[in-house]
Formats: sequence, C-alpha cells, structure tokens
Amino acid sequence: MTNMTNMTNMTKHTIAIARRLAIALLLATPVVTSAQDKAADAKPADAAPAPAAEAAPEAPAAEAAPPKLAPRDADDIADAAARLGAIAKDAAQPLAEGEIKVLSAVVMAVEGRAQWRQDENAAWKDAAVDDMLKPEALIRTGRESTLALRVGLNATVFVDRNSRVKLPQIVQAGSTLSTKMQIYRGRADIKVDKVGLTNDFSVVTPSTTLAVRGTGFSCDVGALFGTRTIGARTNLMRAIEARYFVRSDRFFLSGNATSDGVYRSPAVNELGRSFGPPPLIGQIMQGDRTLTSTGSFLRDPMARPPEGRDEITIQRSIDVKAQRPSFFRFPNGDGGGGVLTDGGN
Amino acid sequence: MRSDRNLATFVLAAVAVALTLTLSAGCQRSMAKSSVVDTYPDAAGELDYWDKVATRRAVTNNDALHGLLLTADNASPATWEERLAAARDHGWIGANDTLDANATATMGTVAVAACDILHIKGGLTMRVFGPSPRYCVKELVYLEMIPSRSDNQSLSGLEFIDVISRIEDRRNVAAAAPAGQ
Repeated sequence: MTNMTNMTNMTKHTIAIARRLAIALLLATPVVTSAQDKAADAKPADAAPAPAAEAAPEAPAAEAAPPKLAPRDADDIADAAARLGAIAKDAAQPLAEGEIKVLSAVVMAVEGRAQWRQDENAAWKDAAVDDMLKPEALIRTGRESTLALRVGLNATVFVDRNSRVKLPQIVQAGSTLSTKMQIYRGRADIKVDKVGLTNDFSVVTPSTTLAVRGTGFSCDVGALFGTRTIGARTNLMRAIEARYFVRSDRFFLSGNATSDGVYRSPAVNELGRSFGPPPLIGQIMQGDRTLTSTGSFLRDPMARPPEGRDEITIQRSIDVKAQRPSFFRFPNGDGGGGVLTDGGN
Repeated sequence: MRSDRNLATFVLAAVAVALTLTLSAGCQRSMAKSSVVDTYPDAAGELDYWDKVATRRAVTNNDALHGLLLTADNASPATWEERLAAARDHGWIGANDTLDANATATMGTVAVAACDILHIKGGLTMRVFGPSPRYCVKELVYLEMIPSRSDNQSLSGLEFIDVISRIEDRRNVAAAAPAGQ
C-alpha cells in the first residue's frame, strides 16, 4: 500500500515537472532555438524542475538598437575636446596692466547661406571656414543657415537662421577678456568658457543688455515676443569645436617633406610614397582609383593579379615575382628609388 | 421750428456721409509704393531681401508671398502674377480672392500659409470648414507661435521674419522627432 502510494505520488510529481517544463520550453522557444542542443537534451524526467520552471522567459531577440559610438570614436572626440580646452587655457595668459590686445573671431562651421563684412561700407562676403573676423564685423544668415564662430580666447557663438549680429568688441585688457556682441534679430547661442582670465562678455539686443560671466545661453531676438533667453545648445557647439579642432591639426614641413589632401601628415605621406598607402593589405587608394586587394601577392608572389587591374598593380606583381624572397619592393609612383628588400638592405 | 428741423436734418446727413466715407476708406488696406522683392527677386539677392524687409514698417502681399514661397518650396517665381498663382495652388488664397501686390499683407494670409507649411490641421472648425485666416491665426496663437493678433492686422518686416523663423524652427523640430510622434 505504501509502495502504491509512493508510486502514485511519484507519478503525480513527474507529471507536474513535465507540465512546468513544457510551459518553460514554449516560453523560451526564441532563445532555445539557437541552442538546439539544450532543446534536444531537455528531457522531462531528468531535468531539474526548479531552475527550468523558474527560468524567466527571455524576450525575443532585441530590436536593432541605435548604433553607438565605438569606444575608440568616443575617446577620440573626448580627447579632441580635452586638447582643445587645454590649448585654449594655455593661450589665455594675462597681459601687463593697461595693455590691450585686439583679438579676432574665426569661423568654425558654416551651413547654408551666411555672409559677413568687416564694416558697413564693405561688401558682403560668403562665410567660409577659417575666415578671420575682426571687431566691428557684421554677420547675417539666411533661411536654414547657421554659422559657428570661435570669438576671442574664450567664447563660442552659434548664429542661427535669419539672424543679423555684430561683434563690436573683442579685446583682452590685462587679465580681462572683454567681448561685446550685438544681436539685431534672430537667434544666437553663446558659450563662454572659463580659461583662467576674467570674462566680460555682454550681449546687446534692441531691448536689453545681458552679461555673461562664464556660462552659456541662447538669445532669441524677435519682433513678436521681444528678447528671450533660453538654454544654449552646448553639445552642438562642443561638437563643432571638436570637429574644427581635429580638422585643423597643424603639420610642420621641412626639407623635402610633402603634404597633400589625402595624407596631410608628412610622415604618412612619405610612407605612402615609399611603401604604398597603408594598409598594405586591403584596398589601396591610387589617386581617384581604387584598387582591390593585392594581398594575394604577399601570400603567393607567383600568383597572377586579378583581371582588370591597372598597370600599377600589374607592375607590382611583376616586381614581386622577380624579387620573390623580398616582396617588399614597391616602385614609387614617380619612378624614383625606395626599394627595400628583406633584411632592410 | 421748421428751420431747426432742417438744420438737424442737414447735420445728421453730413455726419452720415462723413461716417460712410471714413469707414469705406478705413476698410481698404494701406498701400506701399513698392515691394522689396521688386529689387531683389532672385536667389542671389535673398539675404539682401531679408535685410530690406526687416526695415519695412509693413510687409506687402508681394513680399509676404515671396518669403512664404521661399520657405515652403525653397524657390519663388519671378513675377507677382506667378507668385499669386503659386499661392493659389498651395491653397493659401482663394481662387476668387484678389490681392494687390503692394497692399499690406494681413496676419490672416500669413497664418494660412504657415498652417499649410507646417501641416497644422487645427481644431474642429478648421477641419470642417477649412483653414480660414481667422482660425489659422487662432491656431498659431494657441501654439504660441505668434502673440494674440487679429487676422486683419498687418505685420511689420521684423514680425514677418520672426514668423518665418518660427515656421522653420517648428518644421525642424517636427522633422527631428521620431516617426509617429
């Protein structure tokens, strides 16, 4: 009798386990589908009831998340911003008492139609990146147009659509950076950085004058609602600064060094002229022609180049075959020297 | 007395005539000598156009349609007749409505165009009876794009530019919003 009871209980227990497992499997099907061994191995009688029954049903494969910056990209931007800040601070040194230095503004980014002129009598010029504006410069933007400026040593100004602004004063007097900006109409975002000197940035509108000590805000001047101040688009301005800074890395050339639009760094440029443009395996840029991989040559110097390749690749394949043990010989584009064989001879 | 009655009648008639003349004159819109777009009709002079419009005390129909068509289509026809036809095609002006090129533009006309550019459907009245100047103005006031105004009021050049800027801002925000919002 006891055995019968035990068997009945065991059967009931087994059936309960099987029911739970079946439910768990149905709920977890999207996950288990990819791991078919687990599904094949799952046996109702052998599987532990608690973990399977309590296994939280996992959600189906997540929808494609927005692409995130790779850590390297994010670090580059952060590094660039940090370097820009360090450069700004290094450049901001106090002057002698009573000494006044007139500063200028540089255009960092232009979108759409934006123009500037140095004074009321000058002709309007289309704004371009790297344009230098002296005090008293007038700026105007059209529809859907913006202009970003680095003003003096401490401020970034983002002039928005349909705006007309003027920069009457950009000076450093002793240890004070004095800047005035006049907004006739439109919207401008102002970000004033703390660079170790005293900031005296003021914004003049038709109805009011605002002082900015070391902060940022956006000033919208319109005839319908007058002058309004709202938050500045700081992230946008920082992104423009970082992009401008990264683009504006300077290179110093000496001797026979060269720099071109593709390889601005003279070291990289020389590497390309000596050994071919990096990477050596993969796509090779030759002027405006893209050649496909010549990696096969490095693996098997006797291999024939793919069909349809131009003379440069064919010449390289011939050279590789002729210099079989030393396949690092790449003729220069201009036919000059630069032969390098194994062992560096 | 008969003479007193005649005098009273004469005075009343004179007042009525004066009122009639005044009201009829007041119903006409002010006229400008010319429009800014007559001087800067092409794309090369667009920034000059906006600069000059900003100096005007009242925007003309010609200038208003030019600016609105630039905002809507990124291009504006070369002549007033073509601009008027384009505005009719957009539905901003009724087929039977006539406008003087150099008459001052109304807030109602600009509001109808703004609602069309921004795809503002409005409330029940606008949806049932169509975008009328009166209710388009009310809708823009509700959206805080313009302060409280009547549809017959004129607008200065700076006010017109401000409206254009707000149309662009709102359109950019709508374009940046995720789909479905």
